[in-house]
Amino acid sequence: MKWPAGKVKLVFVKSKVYVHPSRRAQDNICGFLYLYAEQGSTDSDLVVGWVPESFLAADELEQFKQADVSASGEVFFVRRPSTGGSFSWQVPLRAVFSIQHRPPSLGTMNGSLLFNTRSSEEKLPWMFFHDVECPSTQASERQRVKDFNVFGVGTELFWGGAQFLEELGKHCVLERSTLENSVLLVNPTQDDLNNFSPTNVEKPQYGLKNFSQAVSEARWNVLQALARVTTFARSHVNGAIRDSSTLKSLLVHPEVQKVNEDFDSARIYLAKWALGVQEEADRNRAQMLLNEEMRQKLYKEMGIDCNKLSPEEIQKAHENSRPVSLLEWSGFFDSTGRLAITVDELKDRVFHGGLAPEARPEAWPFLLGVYPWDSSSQERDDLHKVMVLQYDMLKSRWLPKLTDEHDEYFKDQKFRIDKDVQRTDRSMDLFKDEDLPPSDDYDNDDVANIKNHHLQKLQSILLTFNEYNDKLGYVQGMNDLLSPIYVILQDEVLSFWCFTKFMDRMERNFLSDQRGMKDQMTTLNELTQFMLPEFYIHLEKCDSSNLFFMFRMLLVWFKREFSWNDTVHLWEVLWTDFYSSQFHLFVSLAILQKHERIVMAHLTQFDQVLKYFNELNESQTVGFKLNELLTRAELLFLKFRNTVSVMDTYSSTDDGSAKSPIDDHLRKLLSRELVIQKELQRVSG
Amino acid sequence: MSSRKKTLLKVIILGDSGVGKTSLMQQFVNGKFSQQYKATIGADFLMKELVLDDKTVTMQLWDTAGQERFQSLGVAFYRGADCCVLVYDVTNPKSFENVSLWRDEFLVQANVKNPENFPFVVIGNKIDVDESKKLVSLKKAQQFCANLGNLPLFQTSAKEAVNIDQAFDVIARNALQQEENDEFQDEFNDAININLESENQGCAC
Ligand SMILES: Nc1nc2c(ncn2[C@@H]2O[C@H](COP(=O)(O)OP(=O)(O)OP(=O)(O)O)[C@@H](O)[C@H]2O)c(=O)[nH]1
Ligand SMILES: [Mg+2]
Repeated sequence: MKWPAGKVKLVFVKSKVYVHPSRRAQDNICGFLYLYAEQGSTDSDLVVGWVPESFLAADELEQFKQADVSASGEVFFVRRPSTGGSFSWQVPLRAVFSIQHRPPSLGTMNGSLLFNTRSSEEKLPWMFFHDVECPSTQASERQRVKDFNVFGVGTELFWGGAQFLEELGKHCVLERSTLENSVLLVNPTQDDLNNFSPTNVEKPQYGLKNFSQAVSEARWNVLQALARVTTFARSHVNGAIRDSSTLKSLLVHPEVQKVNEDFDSARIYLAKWALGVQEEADRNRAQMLLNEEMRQKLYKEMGIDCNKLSPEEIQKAHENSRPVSLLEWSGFFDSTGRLAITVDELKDRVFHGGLAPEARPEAWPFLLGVYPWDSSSQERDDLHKVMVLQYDMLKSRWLPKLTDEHDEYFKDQKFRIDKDVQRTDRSMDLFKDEDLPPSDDYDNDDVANIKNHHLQKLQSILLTFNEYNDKLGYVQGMNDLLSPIYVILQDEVLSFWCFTKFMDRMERNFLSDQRGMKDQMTTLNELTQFMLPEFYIHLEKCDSSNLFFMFRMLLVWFKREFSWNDTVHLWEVLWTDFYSSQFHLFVSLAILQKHERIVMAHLTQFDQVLKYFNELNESQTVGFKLNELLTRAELLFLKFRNTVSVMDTYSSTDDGSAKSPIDDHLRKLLSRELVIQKELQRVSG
Repeated sequence: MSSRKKTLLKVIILGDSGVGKTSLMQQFVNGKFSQQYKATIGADFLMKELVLDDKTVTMQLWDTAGQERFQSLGVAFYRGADCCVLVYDVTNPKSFENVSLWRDEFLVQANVKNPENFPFVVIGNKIDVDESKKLVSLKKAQQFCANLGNLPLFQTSAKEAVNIDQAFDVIARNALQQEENDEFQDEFNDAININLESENQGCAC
């Protein structure tokens, strides 16, 4: 048969394939999923697409319908299908990166396919196969029933999407991702395979003794790939705890009884024990991570549909789980030392992966805003020279005050600094030793007698800051914020300027009237009410809804609760302001959520709650991974953002009569702009 | 179940930053001193069981940050205190001057029923230092405590564990006394409530 001019050949057509623009059935749009070839083209030039029935002229519609039911061999030529309208689409097979498939199930009724293109901009709609309406699927189904063979290998559920994939498989390579069964890679490159089908991810093999261990090792890949949290396991565990005879027998255990004697500290003990159990259970539950039921649960609990993550996102999450090495960091810059990628790309990378230790000294001055993103190496060298001069100048302002007996304010501030410097991270190697010769100026016991030369640097930096921001001055807790910067950079001048930049955003924590802390606690309070309402009600019953027990975490950004390494990782993530300049509140929320069930099950009073959170030594708990907490925080943020936008849509269609519950405190959480609150005049004490 | 009622004594420790509140508590509860303690942020408490004569009591000792601006948020736990410990540093006259400010602050915030009778104990810490560094004399401190209504005074060293147990023994006794006074009040109220309840309940099974 001759190829008619200007027409394309329908290679395959599936009818009754719908787009579901909303949850309401009457909005569904019926159409054809098709595969066509241009004249003289090869398989890789095939085009896949979807067109609504209503877009086809009567004669074309007839062609499509026949193509759907025809036996292979028959050929149909049509005009190139329209791509007008908001849902029809068309992409060359070459541009399809992967296909996600969801077979029909009780939960979703209709099976669906999602085509993901190689460019992340283009988001195609899910294609729903309404099998019962589709003549070709019905016919094949009847045929299959007739041919039914008990010993047949094809046990997979039959549906329209599978039929389409089967056809597609004749024209391209479809590789199942070992990370995520529902993803099929289309003509994958070796890189794609490495990312999505790492060979070290074993298929679960039940009965193997170390299976759960193997899974827990593989698990992080999976977790990352799906940006998934383990919250869903929680409800199970809690059920287990409540019914647990182990717990009951533990209560009669003499040791526990003894603890029980001690007021109510037993409750805290039990709560911690429960946390251990939960973590263990979470780990063993990893084997369930990929199944559909779990995904639904997650969706219910977090309101986040993992299926909606495109492979690009999955790929990103997967790649990004590695910290940025020094080599990778250097690669971001061109030969003049100017950033060669966008700031957002870079921040995305740091937000999701953190930095390797050797990259930190390079990266921190950028993240903190000391070095402008668009500067060259030369410009940064010049800037550094200016910074040295300015620092010396500032230093010369306080040096004479050391001997001025009458400057009471300075004397008080110096005393404050000295005694706090003496108590700064003394377990760190850098600050541990008394490496300076005995001083002639001071008595041995004098707080001003700082015997470690790195601590002396901290002292100088804080005294200089006290001068530099003289309205605020030094306040307790600032030493905690400076110390990691100094330890990473080990350069007095650079540390000072990085610290001042950090203090721009942290000044609100140290105001004399505590306004900034109150604001943050109020915001966190509202966020908790909004996102964790049940927990909030429980906290009210415990007189803890003021969230005072979160005070320390907010003041020095989790430094007392996390290990050193986790703290510096967390800080560099927070400095990116990737989603929000107040992402630390989502980290706080993630911590609250993580402990929600346990606190609700075991703690009933203000002091118990405070003790429980004060003694959280997150990094020391078995199985704690900062990445997991950050993923949880990220998902909470995304859920929050979605919810806000949904609520805004509702209230805008309501002709604005109903006031949105999202007030300014909460709305500010969506902004990446720093919240700056400054001390207006000097207050001592 | 034992019918013996457990006694919880709530004690608040106040004083300027750096006088040694955390160190004193750690020495009393855990019997050790470390240079590695960090400045306190927010509030925390430790528990310690103690036998007074033949009575076992549990002390709940509250520790807070010393810098003034952080006090405003933390007053919630002043409520229900049975005793308040005011600490100063013998090498730091200013911390001594502030003792009366801390006392006033406490009385305002804790909302105690009888401020005149509420038990305070004063502690001058760091007496292990050189004689030349002691800038607050014992005499001056005694005078001060006498003026405030004969407050018990102790000179301690958290570093070398001097006078710690003695000080906390007195703190516990004072707290217990306060507790019992309060309890007397509460029992009086309870008695009324019980009477009211038993009138409604016909059966005492
Ligand atoms: N020589 C000596 N030093 C002490 C003693 N007690 C505490 N110190 C030191 O004094 C400093 C402050 O002690 P902390 O116990 O942390 O003081 P604090 O009152 O809890 O201070 P904040 O938490 O800031 O309110 C530390 O460097 C201690 O090592 C003592 O009895 N003798
Ligand atoms: Mg302290």
